[in-house]
Amino acid sequence: MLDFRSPPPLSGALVAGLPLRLLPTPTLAWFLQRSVDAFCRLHPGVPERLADYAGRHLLLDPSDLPVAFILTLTNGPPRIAAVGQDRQSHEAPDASVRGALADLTALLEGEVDGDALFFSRHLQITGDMELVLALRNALDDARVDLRQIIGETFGHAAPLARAALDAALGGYTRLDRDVSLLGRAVTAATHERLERQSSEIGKLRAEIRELRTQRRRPGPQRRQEDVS
Amino acid sequence: MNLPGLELVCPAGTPAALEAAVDAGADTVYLGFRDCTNARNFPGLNFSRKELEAAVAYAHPRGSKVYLAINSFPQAGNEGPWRQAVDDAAGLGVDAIIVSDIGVLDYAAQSHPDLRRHLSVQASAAHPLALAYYHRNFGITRAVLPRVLTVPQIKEIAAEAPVETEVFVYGGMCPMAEGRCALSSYATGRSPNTAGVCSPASHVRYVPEGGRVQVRLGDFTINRFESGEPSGYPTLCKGRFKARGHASYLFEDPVSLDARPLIPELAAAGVKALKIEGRQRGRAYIAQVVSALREAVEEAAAGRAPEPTSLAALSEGGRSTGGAYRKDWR
Amino acid sequence: MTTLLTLGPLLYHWPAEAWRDFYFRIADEAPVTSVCLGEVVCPKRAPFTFPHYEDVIQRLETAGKEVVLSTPALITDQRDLALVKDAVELGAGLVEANDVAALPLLAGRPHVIGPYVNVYNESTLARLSADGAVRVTLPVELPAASIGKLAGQDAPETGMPEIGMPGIGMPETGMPEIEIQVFGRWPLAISARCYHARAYGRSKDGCLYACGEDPDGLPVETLDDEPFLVVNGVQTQSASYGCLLNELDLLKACGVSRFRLSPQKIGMIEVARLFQDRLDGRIGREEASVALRQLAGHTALSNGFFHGREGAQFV
Repeated sequence: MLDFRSPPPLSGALVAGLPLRLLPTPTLAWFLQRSVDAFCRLHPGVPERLADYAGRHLLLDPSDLPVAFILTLTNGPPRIAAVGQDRQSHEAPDASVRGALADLTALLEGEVDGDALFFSRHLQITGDMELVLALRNALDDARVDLRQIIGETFGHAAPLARAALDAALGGYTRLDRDVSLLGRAVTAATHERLERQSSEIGKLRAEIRELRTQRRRPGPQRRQEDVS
Repeated sequence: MNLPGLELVCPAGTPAALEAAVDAGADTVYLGFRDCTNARNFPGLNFSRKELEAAVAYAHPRGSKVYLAINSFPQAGNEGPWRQAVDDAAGLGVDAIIVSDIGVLDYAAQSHPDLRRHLSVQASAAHPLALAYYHRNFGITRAVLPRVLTVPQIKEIAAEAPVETEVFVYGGMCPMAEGRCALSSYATGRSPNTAGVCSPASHVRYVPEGGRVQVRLGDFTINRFESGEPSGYPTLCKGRFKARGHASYLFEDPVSLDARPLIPELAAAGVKALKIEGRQRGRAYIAQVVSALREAVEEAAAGRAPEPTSLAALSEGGRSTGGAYRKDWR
Repeated sequence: MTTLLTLGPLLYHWPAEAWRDFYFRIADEAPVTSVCLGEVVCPKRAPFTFPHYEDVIQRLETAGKEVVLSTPALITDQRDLALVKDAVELGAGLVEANDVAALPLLAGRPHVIGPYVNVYNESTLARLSADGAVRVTLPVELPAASIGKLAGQDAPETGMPEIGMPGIGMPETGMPEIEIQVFGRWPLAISARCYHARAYGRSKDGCLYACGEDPDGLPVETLDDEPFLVVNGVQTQSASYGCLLNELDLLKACGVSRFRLSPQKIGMIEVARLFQDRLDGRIGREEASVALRQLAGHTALSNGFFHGREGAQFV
């Protein structure tokens, strides 16, 4: 019923994230919920600041992963579940936040400014803005440290999990480069053609603009721009 | 020139942001309580009484001051929360309160004459006579000037006003006379004056339309973006509308104010304090912007023209403007 | 309680003769008690109508109308302030302050507070009253609950008697009369920037009076072609005509004694008659509504502010 995810682009995160899909759903769900619970133990202020939003659903959609997450706010720690392109969710989310995994984790840790990511369209938000804003503001104050949460969640296995996270955020950068290199190699010819076309379209647009301006002159609409 | 006296007044929406601002060189941090008494009553934002106490305890030993904004307008029959905020500000040792309502100012002047009172930009006092009114009647010692004035007008006000002046140098632009705008409540039923919010997030919807995104505020479409097109806050006055058959950003483009190059001129005009907008922004933004502004103030104090480092990535629409300070804004 | 109609200031830039003739007709035909005149939006317009002030004021006074002199909504420079000084010097009637900067010129003498000054609560009202305000038109976004609190209160209960400013007590006449706009586009915002000039691709200084092209405001629509706002020089108004015709009884019950009609480019004499007939109970609710809809033409009506809803709503 739900088709709110578009396919992720080819990226390092996607390639390395593919094993996530191989995890049995209950196992993944268990790890996710454990992480969220640990998070709430470390940052009790966050669920407190979000008390007014109990019952609402938020889709967290890392654009470069093959899975997304539905966060359901409650009076206590939020519940979290994974959804994929082929996995169905029971309820439509009240809001969704879509962006690259690296941007979303940086946002979670307060290392980047959410508004700035949004203005530059690195983040795409749909639905209930108040919910998104409340979550952002609550998280921003919490000074989240993902590595610490992993330590709480995975106990003895934490070093392994941390390494995996580092791979996901840092290692992926290298992988990203490789993949995108590969991608460029494959698509280079197409790319060139597209660039040629786009420059021609640009020229035609400029000509049309010029013609319109001449038609209007001495018309008063110099400052305005058409939206069509 | 009186440059070393320039005070940098920085925003904080959370305790973490306050610490970031102090650490980055804020002379003063301004903030609000987590309720309707201030004009940034946003979800998940602002300070409890306990958090304000901790904020003062963090700022004062590090040489920074704390101002409390009590700058929305009490609703008839419910002035209690605003008076309580004034009382608590005095009790918790903030350095000044920033107020816009005549009734709240009157209360503060009578009940806590020793608590410094600044006039909020929400009072929209744009002429020396208006400042004289608030000074004479309620003993304000400083006024935050509206963002619609030109530098020559600021100069004139600073020269004639019986109080210190503070002006915005960085952050969101408000093209209307602040505190006198009902555009938000016309579309959503809630405004800065009635609810401490403008174009509240609860009434904003981003609706995907194929490759485009439609921005709805209440029942009205206030913009439509191509995917990938830089955007700004979903604020009514920064929406795209049609007039005379043409769509445009009629009121204001999605840009942020960046008046760093004008700091020497503002200082020469007699301005006492420079203000950064953005209590709703994250601590990463606060740290970066406060450092950059601190640097600009130091440069100006050393007699050099500030050479702004790029903060464009943090701005609405990825662009900035000199705003009303720029001659052609009007 | 007697209820009275006020004609608010004409907010648009009409040709001077049309401006004069409009007020002449109001003087001769409209059942209004008070008439406001004066440039509220842009001081650059004032020199055109000023030569007709004497004639208009005389005509209004001869017709038994009270004259109120309205002043600018945003005072930023000497040109704006000069209009307040002119109004005071003219001495033709009460002066209406629309910006706090006008108050020092009016303190201590009876004056009127217009809808552009923020009066949201009892303390502010008491304070303005103490300085000489005898009538206050409340800001347009106030809901019924606030209006009731501000209009229904009695002098002894207001403000903070224990902390009143020394030497200034409540005026013996009691609290100011409360006036509410009941018809006309809601004034929503004012700026130093002229959106009218901007929409015509001109600068504010070189505006060539673009606002004169749109005698009922320049329509601003959403990208979906829905009427939304109008621009009137530096002022932004609602596209809909505010209309509290159906709320007159409630307003009276709240203690509101004055009702303001803000002039639009429609039959204002007929609008005034309609409201007066409704106030006097000479015409039923339904009949009045139908008649007003006809007068408003294609323009939508709104009353959401009064009902604590979105201002654009019509409940």
